[in-house]
Amino acid sequence: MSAIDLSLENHYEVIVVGSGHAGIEAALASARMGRKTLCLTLNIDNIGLMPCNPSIGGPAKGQIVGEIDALGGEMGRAADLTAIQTKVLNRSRGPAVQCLRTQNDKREYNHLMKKILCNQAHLEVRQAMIEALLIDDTTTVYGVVTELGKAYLAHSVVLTTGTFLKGKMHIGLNAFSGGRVGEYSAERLSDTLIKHLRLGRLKTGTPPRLDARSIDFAQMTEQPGDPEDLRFSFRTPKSDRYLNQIACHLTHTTPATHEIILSNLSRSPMYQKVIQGVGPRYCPSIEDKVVRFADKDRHQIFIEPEGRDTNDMYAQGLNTSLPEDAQEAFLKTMPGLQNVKILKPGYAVEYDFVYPDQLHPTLETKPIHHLFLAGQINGTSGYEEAAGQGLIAGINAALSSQNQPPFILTREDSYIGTMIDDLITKNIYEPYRMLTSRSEYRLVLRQDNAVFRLSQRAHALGLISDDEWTGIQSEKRHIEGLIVKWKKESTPEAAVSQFNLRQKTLLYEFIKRPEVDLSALMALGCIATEDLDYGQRALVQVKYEGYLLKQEAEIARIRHYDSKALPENLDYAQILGLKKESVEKFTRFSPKTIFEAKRISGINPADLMVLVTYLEKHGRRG
Amino acid sequence: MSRDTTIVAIATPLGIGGIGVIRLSGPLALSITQQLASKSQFPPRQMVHTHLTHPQTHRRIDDGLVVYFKSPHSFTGEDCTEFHLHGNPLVLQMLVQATLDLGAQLATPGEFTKRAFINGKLDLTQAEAIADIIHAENQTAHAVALNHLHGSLFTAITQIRQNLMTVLEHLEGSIDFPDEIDPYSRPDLIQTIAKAKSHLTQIIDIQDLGKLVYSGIKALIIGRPNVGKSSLLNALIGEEKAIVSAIAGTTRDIIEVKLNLGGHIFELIDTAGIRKSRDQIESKGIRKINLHLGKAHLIIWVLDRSAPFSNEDEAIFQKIKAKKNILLLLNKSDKKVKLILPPALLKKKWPHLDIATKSYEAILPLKNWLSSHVQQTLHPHDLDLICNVRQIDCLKKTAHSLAQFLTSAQAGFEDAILALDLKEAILRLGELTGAEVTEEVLDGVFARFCVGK
Repeated sequence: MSAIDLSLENHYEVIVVGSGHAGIEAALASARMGRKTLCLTLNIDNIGLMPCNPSIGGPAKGQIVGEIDALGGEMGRAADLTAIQTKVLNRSRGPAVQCLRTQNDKREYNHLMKKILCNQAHLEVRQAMIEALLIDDTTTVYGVVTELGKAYLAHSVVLTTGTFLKGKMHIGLNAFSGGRVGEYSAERLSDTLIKHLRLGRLKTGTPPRLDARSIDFAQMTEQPGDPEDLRFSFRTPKSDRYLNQIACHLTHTTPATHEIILSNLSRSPMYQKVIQGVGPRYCPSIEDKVVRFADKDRHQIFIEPEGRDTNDMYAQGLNTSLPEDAQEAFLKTMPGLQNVKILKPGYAVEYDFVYPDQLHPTLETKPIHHLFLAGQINGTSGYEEAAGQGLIAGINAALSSQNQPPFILTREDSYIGTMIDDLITKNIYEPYRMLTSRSEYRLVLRQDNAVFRLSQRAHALGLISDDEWTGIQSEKRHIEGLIVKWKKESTPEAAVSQFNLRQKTLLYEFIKRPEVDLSALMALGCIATEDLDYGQRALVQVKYEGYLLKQEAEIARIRHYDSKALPENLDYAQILGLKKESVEKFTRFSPKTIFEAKRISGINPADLMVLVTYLEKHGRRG
Repeated sequence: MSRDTTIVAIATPLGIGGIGVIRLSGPLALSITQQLASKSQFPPRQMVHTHLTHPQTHRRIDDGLVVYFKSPHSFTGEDCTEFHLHGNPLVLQMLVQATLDLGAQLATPGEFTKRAFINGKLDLTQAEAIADIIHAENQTAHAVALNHLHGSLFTAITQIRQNLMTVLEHLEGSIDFPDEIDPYSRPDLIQTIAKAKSHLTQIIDIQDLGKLVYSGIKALIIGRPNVGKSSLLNALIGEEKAIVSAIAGTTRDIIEVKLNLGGHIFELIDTAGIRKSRDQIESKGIRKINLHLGKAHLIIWVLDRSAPFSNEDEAIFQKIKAKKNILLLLNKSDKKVKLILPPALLKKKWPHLDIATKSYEAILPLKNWLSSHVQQTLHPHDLDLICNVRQIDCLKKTAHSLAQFLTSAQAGFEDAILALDLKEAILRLGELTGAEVTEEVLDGVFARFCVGK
């Protein structure tokens, strides 16, 4: 390694390593908060690449995109502007779990993100491979070193290295190092990290890409989008993009497919135990599906276009690491794929990750100060999960560089908070994907109210502009105004006969009837056309009032408990009843609140009880 | 942790003991005590002898000694009342239930200790191991719960929980993986949950000894006139000092007597006699008997051994021949036997006892029989649960969540909402069986459904 160049122009407030979905949000958030930020990427043309499925959103993920948007992030807007298909999922399953999913033009998305990043004030983007972190003797990171020996210094460093830490790809029994097809892996960075952090190994996979010209779509079922203007971002202007959507197609495996897969297991790196990393249960390889669900004679496969001007087709449901010839053979047994040509074979990739229980809720590592981690390096999977963490890591890296108090989301205010809480308190042993069922409060954490939950705090950070914030507030007033109106006004005569009412009733009560929806209100003339945009959100609040109140009460209870402050110079050794190890942990991490104390790993409820008890006694005397 | 609540628990060891102590702590302690007691003045730290009656049902619970401790001079530092009652678990549960009805909540394990600690009532220098104690209590809570649930009851509850879990897995899976898992059909969903709920309600009914507590074990004494029913009753009453109450029946034909035999409350209903008659008052009485016949846990049929089997006896036999839990009491066994039981009756193989109600000693076999009958009819599970109001409480809360689920399902609420009620129901059952829900649901989804695109 050549001598480290410490010239002043290489000084930044925040350095973000990586420019995937986590890196983008981290770099943008930091720069938009006015911090001098550097984003280092392995390949400047691959900013915001979608290495797996060409889609964004879906259950829980859509809610996360809404939250990223409410916090001033970029993902929602970019997804809106590059969508080639939009669809609302779970429409009939309740407002809490309704969510948007877009199919996106990958190239367009990647171009747009590159443009945004490269034009952002306070942000520099450079291509470089990072080989080591600069860490001082107080275990505080102060910069990074490239493989060419160039040093960049910063107060905070955010690592968003995806699958690149000792990435190892598998196609059949051939293995080679690399984080994605055709790209290098970061070999030496892991060696720096492992001196301070516990690392583990995970596996993920991607299906083959097929040539559209070789597919007979007539043998498949068309899966069109919804014919309406749907958007993730409150900042995306209305448009007629939706008139020009591209359909996906549905086909399925056959017994012949399964036969070929089973007869090739001897050449599978998974089944030959070549792959050591643990893969996700929610995203099994086709080999796994066929073996584990032997009684199913077909598995559905979605053929999704990767863009408007490309023949690349993503074969959703066919993650595989079987050899290329086996992939080709089993593909040809499926309806519509008899003559298929593979553009890129599917592969599995193994990579190092950092056990995320070593993180604070700010995503700063506990052992290395000022070092923040986001995305797959924390054991998660998914673009949205990565972007959500990137945003939080970026914000906190920026705040930390100014010695400002941290920005923390919780289970009670967001899916992002739920995810981070799961990561730092639970035992992660497979790639973590967000699911709505992971949230205790999903009725409160809806996609439609993300701005009301989170934007005020983003505005305070400067991530939401004054105009945007004013707009959000006026929306909120509008919705509340509608509800107040419904509490005063009665149903019109027409409603009595039409809905078999005994008598006229308050609109507020009328709306609670299951059969009353927005269109019914419109037909009765109970809602003005200009109120339609707010109507649905107001409706949700009325219809689910009982359940919402219940969850809100529970949230209030937990917040009250969590917010209890711990005195800064509390002498834990003086608190009788605390276990010795707990005294050490509390003293070492000096939590500022019960919330923080709760998140120290190894602290059990009994320790917390003693602490709360002590505080209450202490508070009374004081 | 909220200290605005008033908590209650049985403080003495479980089982039938000489006395039982119930502790009530919190802001409502005094007012609940006043509502239950026949007296209204409770000077702090003084034992007050009083009757205790449920103010809503007007059922007498017991009489006993009550001590009120005014905050902060109590074990917990809060307003506190201790009830010293007879050690019968049925009585203790009855009082706990009454305090719950008046706004108290069941204490969680260790909650009295925690409150005492918070309020500075426990000396910290002596409390070095408090964390371990609290921890241990939390840990053992589940173990204790599990120990109390055993055999067929535990199996039944586990089965219900498993059924609910299967539904929740499907609901959650189909929400998180809408492309891959089809929604649960609504009629099937309602049917499955309704079935689980009715199963649960059945268990609650069996377990809910509160009902038995209020009314006692209903034993109907029947027999034609002059077979010695009244003397039988008098013998029982005269012998037994622990009479709870003796109330005249609503008609002149029926006398109800409550008494405590071996820790169990019996409600003996003396019917004046079934007689074939066109007399209006009597037939009213007979209708009343019919009513009691339906509700009785036990029928004691008194026959006169010194007289032949009469038409009236035959009429009674016809009336009760389809019933269960019948004891034949062959009275006047000290006299010459003239009674010959008809073959149809003998075939029933009903248990029988020979007694002579004239002597108190002679009634002993009946008392013994009644006691052992209780042990046999009340399953061991039931006796366990008498001591375990918390578990019944969990079951009831589960049933409540399921009822909410069904109401919401009927009202057309969506799956995501129903999943909330279902999850809550499973959480409640989990307090009995102790299990984390979220991860279990996910494990189930991934094991049962082939998800992953």
